[in-house]
Amino acid sequence: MEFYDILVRLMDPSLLLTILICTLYGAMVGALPGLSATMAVALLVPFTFFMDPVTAIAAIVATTSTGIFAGDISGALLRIPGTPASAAYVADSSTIAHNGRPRTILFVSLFSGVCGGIIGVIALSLATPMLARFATNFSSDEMFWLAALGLSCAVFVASAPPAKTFASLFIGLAIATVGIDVAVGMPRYTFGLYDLYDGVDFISAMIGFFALTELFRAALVRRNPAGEPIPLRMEPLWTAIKNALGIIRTRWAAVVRSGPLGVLIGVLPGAGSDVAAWIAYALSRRFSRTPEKFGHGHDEGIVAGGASNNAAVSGAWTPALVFGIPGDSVTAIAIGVLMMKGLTPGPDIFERSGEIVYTLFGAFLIANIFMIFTGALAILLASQLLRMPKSLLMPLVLALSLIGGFAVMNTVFSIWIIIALGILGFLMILGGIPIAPAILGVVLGKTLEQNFMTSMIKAQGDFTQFFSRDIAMVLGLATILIWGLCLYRAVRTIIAPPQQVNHKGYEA
Amino acid sequence: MDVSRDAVTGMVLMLAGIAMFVGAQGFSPAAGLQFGAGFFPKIVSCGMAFSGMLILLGALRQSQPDRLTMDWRGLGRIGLLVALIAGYALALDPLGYHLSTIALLFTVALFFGASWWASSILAVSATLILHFVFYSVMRVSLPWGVLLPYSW
Repeated sequence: MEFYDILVRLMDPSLLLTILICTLYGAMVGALPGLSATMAVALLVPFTFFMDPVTAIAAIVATTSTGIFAGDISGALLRIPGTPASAAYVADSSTIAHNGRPRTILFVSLFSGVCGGIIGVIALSLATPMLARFATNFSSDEMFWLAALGLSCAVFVASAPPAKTFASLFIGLAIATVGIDVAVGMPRYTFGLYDLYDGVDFISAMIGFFALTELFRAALVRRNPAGEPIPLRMEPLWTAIKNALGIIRTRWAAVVRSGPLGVLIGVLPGAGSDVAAWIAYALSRRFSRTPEKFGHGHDEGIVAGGASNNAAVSGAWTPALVFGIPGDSVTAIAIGVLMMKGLTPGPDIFERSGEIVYTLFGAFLIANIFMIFTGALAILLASQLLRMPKSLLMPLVLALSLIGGFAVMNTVFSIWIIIALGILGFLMILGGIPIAPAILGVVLGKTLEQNFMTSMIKAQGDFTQFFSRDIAMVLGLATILIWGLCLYRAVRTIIAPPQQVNHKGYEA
Repeated sequence: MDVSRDAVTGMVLMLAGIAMFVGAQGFSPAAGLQFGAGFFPKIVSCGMAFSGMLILLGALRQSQPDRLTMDWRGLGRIGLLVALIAGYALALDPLGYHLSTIALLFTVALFFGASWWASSILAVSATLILHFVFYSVMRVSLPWGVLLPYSW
């Protein structure tokens, strides 16, 4: 009977319409070079504020999965990956596109993305309830260590130097300390501004970090260096689809191998679809019978990368839903949205709102199926989309960011937060500090502090109490181990700096 | 002496961490507790200063550091953009959403190199669409400002 209820909920026309619109929106934004899937989600969040929880999360999922696929469009046609997740196989896909088969290779990307996405949803719906059952009797000790572990993994797997990733994390945590404190209710770092008593509004922070920062980066140069897309000869649609299906059928092993791999990498906090694509690409090259063809227009790596980056989108939701620990920056945003809706993620989410969670999984599946059609539409419109000038796109992004922040808080103060964090994010980029860990810090900061203070007060300041429970001890030791490894790596780069060859040469 | 990019980054982070620590000194714990509102911020500020120190040390040890180069033209352009947005935030309530958004879209489109007529078409049409979506559909109370007598 419960199954029937979920089915009825899924058939809700407003939910289906939202998913359809969002797959379309994700496809458009993802295809435009310079606009990432994360930015698409950041601009979407103000709208989700006015939706019910399931619709809101479904909207985010639909936007990301199509956005990740659509990044391949500008990758194949312009050689500029639309999102970082398509960077791994951009050499292959653009070579094939320029050899006269652009649509075929885009359909290969689309179909492998859909397969990866569906594998991801299946893994998600199987793994999450199991993990949740395991985690139901976690206390604040375990939850503190889990949050700490999540943050540390983000440092461990990040591609930037550990010291800089740590710095980004602490910047995010520092932003999270602004406002009334969780333990005794004292206002902190508010500078006498009442608007800051509730803390830095998370939606405005997101928009500032992801949208304004991109805008500033675009403003650095006066003209778009990308230039005009080379006019490509497009093959007939049906031939392209038929050929693409044929390629997927012969490369099914790559899909079956890369899908679960993508899920696993997506689960790791900090490692999202871009890492998944790189690893799947490298792995399929190792297993391939023709590794020398990779990078010169071979479709095997595209299938592997395309499947795994979309599978990672779903994988990232597992720790997000069960532990409230985001697997990547998009789920970090989504956790913030869930918290706003009063649907705090945690091990008991299945008992509190099981029906919502299962409806959510259904919505994930629908989003991946709708993606076939909207993705095909984006492929058809590809050359028109790529001709959209930056001079008209950027003002639109700006206007949408500002009204989005305003709509949620209904005060001009949100615009000031957007400006301040946009500048902060831009300075971080100038200093070589990655932004995504800071977002994890902003989202996890309050949870981390609350669990930490609860445990601390319970133990009356005795830090050893954090290791008194079995699972807490294991988690704590794992966290400390990872901290040690990160610290070791950071110190090693100081003692023995990597000898880098400077190709640019120094002019006086 | 050349200043490397990482040295500046590390120094700024250390200063920020110290400032935050000093600020946290002011949050005294509640009676009967050894730790209060200032405890967690102190940990965070130490972490920030420490990572700043690691970055700084790494920069000092590097044989061929990235030199800090200032693209003053680019920074000037960004300063102009920030000034436009700040002006928008100031104008939003007194002038109203519609007029200030049209002005912002128009100037920012020009800023990114669009032609006069493209900028004006974009400004007016995008403002109308945003008005429809946020005001009419999502019922956000956008400020009308000077246009209040003509509001609908």
